Amino acid sequence: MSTASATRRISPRKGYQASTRRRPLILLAVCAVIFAAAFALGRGGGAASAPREAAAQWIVPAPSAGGVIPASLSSAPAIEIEIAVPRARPNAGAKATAGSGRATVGERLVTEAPASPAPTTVAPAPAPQVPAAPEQHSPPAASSPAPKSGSSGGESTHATSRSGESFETSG
Amino acid sequence: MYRSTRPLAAQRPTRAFPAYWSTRPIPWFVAPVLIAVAILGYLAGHHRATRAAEEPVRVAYEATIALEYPSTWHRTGAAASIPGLQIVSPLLLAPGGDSARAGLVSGELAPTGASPLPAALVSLLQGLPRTEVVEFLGVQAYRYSGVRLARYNRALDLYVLPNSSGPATALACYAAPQHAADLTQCESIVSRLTPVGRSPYDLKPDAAYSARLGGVIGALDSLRLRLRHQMSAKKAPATVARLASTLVRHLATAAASIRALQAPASAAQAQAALVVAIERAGQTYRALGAAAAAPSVAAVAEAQSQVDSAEAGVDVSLETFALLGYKHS
Repeated sequence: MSTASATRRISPRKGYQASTRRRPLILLAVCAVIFAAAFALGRGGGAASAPREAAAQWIVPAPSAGGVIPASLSSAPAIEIEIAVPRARPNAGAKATAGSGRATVGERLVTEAPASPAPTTVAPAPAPQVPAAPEQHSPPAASSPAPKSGSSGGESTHATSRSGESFETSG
Repeated sequence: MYRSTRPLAAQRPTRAFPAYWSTRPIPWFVAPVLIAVAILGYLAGHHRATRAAEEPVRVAYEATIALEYPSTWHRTGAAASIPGLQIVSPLLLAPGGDSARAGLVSGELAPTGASPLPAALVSLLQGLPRTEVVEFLGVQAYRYSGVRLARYNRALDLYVLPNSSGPATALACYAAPQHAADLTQCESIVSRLTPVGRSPYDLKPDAAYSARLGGVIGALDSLRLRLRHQMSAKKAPATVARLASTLVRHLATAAASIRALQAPASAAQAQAALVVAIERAGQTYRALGAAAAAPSVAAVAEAQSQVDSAEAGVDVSLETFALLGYKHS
């Protein structure tokens, strides 16, 4: 490539002429790009904002102030009551509790009489649990069998000769 | 020392433009033309998007509402079963008539009591849904979004239009998990609902009422919690009887305070139900105290069971306020 031809090609004069000729084309291209970009913006914005606008229009604004109302009462611990059941008379008591050994109210196991000879102190009896109602708290775990006491121990080995029983229930 | 005699401006390095770069100024009309083109493009795009959204619509009339729905949705006869939602003579619309995929069920609800939603449905709720008050041409309604029900795996949104002089109207939008877009379309149909023959009914939660009621319930709950803590740990019957008696007094005071509150019309039934539930809880604690004082094993167990049941009733009543749009904790 000769120096003369290179000089001719980048001649400022010719470059200027080319630029003048291309100007409308460049302008058209820029117009097309801007139109396309704006079209895309309009389409995307219109489609995306329509549901949001609709939703915003039909939702009634909630008051920003105001207290909070609890949706439920707090979970409370189980109620545990210790009741000493008076010593049953040998004859009557034997009949009352014979064959059962436990007293159940509804779905809830209340007590289980230990088949031990003559427990005399008030103490938690073993109480195998039965499933409680779903909304109820489950009863606490049963405690150990009633210990025997020396006060009446050995007087009788009959199941109904125990002097006391206890129970735990839950709330 | 050499000093240049050329002016300073001439010493600055001149920027070398390419040969084809015209230094001729841009004509004045170019900028306005470009701006006009941008505006035209935006408007054309927006118009096209709006036209695409506005498909031809059909109208379905139900007893108290009119629904405009796109032609891609069809009325179907197959009933969509939503657990706990019993709708009288339902109107069912589904995309492409496929009610297994998604749908919109609307119709009248059987009387629901204090809660806007049927008790059977409330009992199946897995967590409280998001509750909002929406408005259809001046008529307000409750909107429950993100409803999760036991044994129901579809996305579900519910709308309830209470009626002071008749049964409430319910609308349910549901969609199978892979058709969430249908739920959006269903929402769009519901948003164009036209209520027929309904008087405006203000459902907006009352902030002042909410603050007063929340205060009473909060105080009652903390007292109850303290007394229940004292009732635990194998207390003697006499102690439990005394504590139960104290709790009865607090429950009675709270019930009286709540009854004295001026409830907005939309919450009047819920307030009455809450008062009844708290009074019932008081009665059961009184029975528990009496049974403990006796003391009777069977009576205590029975009373305790009733206390549990009564407190569950209070919880249901409190949930109702959440379903009425009141902020809850």
